[in-house]
Amino acid sequence: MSETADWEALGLDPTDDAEAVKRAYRARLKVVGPDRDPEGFQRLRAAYEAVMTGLEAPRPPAAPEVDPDLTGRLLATVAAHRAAGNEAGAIAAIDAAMAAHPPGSPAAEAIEDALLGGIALDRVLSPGLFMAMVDRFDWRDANGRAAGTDAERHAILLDRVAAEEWIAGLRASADPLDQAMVATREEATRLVSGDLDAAGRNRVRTRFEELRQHAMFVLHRFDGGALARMREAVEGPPLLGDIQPEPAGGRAGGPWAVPPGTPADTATTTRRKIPLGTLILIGALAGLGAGVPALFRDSSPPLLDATEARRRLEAADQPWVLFHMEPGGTRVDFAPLVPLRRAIADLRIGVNVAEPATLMQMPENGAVPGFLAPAEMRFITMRLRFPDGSLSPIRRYDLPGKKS
Amino acid sequence: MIPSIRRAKVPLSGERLYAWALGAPYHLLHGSPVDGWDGPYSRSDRKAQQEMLGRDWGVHGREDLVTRLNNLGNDGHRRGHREQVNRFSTTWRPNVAAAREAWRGTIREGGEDAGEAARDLWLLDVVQADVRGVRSAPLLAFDAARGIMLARDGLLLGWLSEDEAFDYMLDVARDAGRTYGSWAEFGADYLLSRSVWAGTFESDAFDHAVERLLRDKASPWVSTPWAQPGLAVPRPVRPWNAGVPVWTLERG
Repeated sequence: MSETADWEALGLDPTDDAEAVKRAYRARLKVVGPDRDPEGFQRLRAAYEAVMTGLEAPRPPAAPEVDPDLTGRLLATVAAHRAAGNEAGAIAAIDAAMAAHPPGSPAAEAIEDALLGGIALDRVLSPGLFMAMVDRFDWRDANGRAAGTDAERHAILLDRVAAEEWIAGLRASADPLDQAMVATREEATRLVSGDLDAAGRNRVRTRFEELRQHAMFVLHRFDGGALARMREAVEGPPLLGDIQPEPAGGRAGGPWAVPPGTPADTATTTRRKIPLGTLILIGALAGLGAGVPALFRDSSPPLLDATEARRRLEAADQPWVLFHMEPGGTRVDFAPLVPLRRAIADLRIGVNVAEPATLMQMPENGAVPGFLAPAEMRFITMRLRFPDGSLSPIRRYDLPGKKS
Repeated sequence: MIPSIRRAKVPLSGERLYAWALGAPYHLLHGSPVDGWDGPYSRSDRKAQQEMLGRDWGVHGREDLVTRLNNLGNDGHRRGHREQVNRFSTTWRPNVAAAREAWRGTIREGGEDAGEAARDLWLLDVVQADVRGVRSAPLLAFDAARGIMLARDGLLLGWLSEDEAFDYMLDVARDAGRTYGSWAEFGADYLLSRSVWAGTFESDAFDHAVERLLRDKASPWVSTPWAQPGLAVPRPVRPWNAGVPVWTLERG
């Protein structure tokens, strides 16, 4: 039977009053009893049970009557402010939207739901905007709307709240160790200038453990230089591996800066390891002169005239290459050839091969080619072509400790 | 060999030039003008750039391009790299030693994890030695330069309007401008962040491109002031359009 037919069978207009339904049923029983009208009784009984079931079932809440564009417009406005880096504008947009609707109203709940579902878990959401929403909508409340609509999402929200409150606590702390945690490298070095006592070491260890717990939300905001300073104050210098620190004093304007006009021959160059496969590039790059200073050192040794240079190049005691032991490995240095380059048309080199085949133009500006030898390099072979077109004998130079 | 610096017939100026120049390592190595553009790509350039976008970026049209630009604008590699650097900055010595041994073992064994282990080991060592000041480096420039390059290709392939391309590029420029103090800083961090991505300091054409851009008088990195007072953050708010690329200036 249809719902309308059920009410008609009961002789009643639709109502939420269960007692009225029962009274109507009893009244109809007097007319349509099982003895007098078995089929009519069956219809009445079915109608009564259907109506009562409907009355006892929990009713879905009435759909909020909200302007369907309200949340879309708000999210777009907030997104526009966020993209512009205008955190205050985004917060003001949310405040304005909420001011137009009373707390608990369908519109206010729709706004909260849209923000929860749309941006609350966004990885790049700014801390200020996130905490403004947490405070406005009371997202810390374990019985609030955020917790009730999606428990898993709420747990993540609470984790971020804890992370934001932790980092805010560090910033507000008067303890120099806490201040150093959230400082720049330079500030941290000033705040923590020496080794720490036992209590200080324990505090740093605790802070690092807390940082790991909150890492998903805040780790990227810290200055690794400051964190490393804290670690070194606890356990001393870092445990270095195959890569060694650069010499001090080679930088200005920022630790990762290469000031313009500074020959890039100091720190960055000497740490570069060039695999054998890449070594062949040197020949081509050498011709670029000042355009490729990363691989060369500026140098202006006096040039010998071609005759004297040729004599020296052919002298057995004149090395064509030097090897320097450096912290990062062996540096191959072609400096001995630079003052003699008037007698060199070109140079061919080979690594671990008897026949040097890689062409290497000598730089015209006096720059000195060189590179950090790859680990697998055992020896280098070299052959010169003189300006008259004749070729020198091949020379072989073994790297120190790698004679084969 | 690195190509010579190519100049546009009608170069950009002001903030647009500054923004365009942030992608100069790619402009230079792609044979494009470093200070503007001379109309749409030629047929051969168009083919080459479309092949590069499809092969390296999975970009075959506007929709793919906007997705990639948004990825770069929101996250890129910078956040993940900074997290990893900070994690290694706070790793205690015994754990450093243990991690090295574990990764060396993985590398010795070969297999599909060896490459990632080699990159992790390299970065761990770089952070312990603080090479090139990596612990405190912004690591933004690699994402920024690539964002400019992609927006350039979107413009010259006709997938983005000029306004869309430059709205994006100018936001990249705002982010770079508030992060670095000079072209030298930007260039150094570009090479460093690219090395962190590659897991090696092995020198290649990009190192030489940056060196040239910092020294060559024809380079906008030499002739254009770094400070751009007109590129303040926050900038005026633009109406939101989910279909156009966004480089967010929000700091999460």
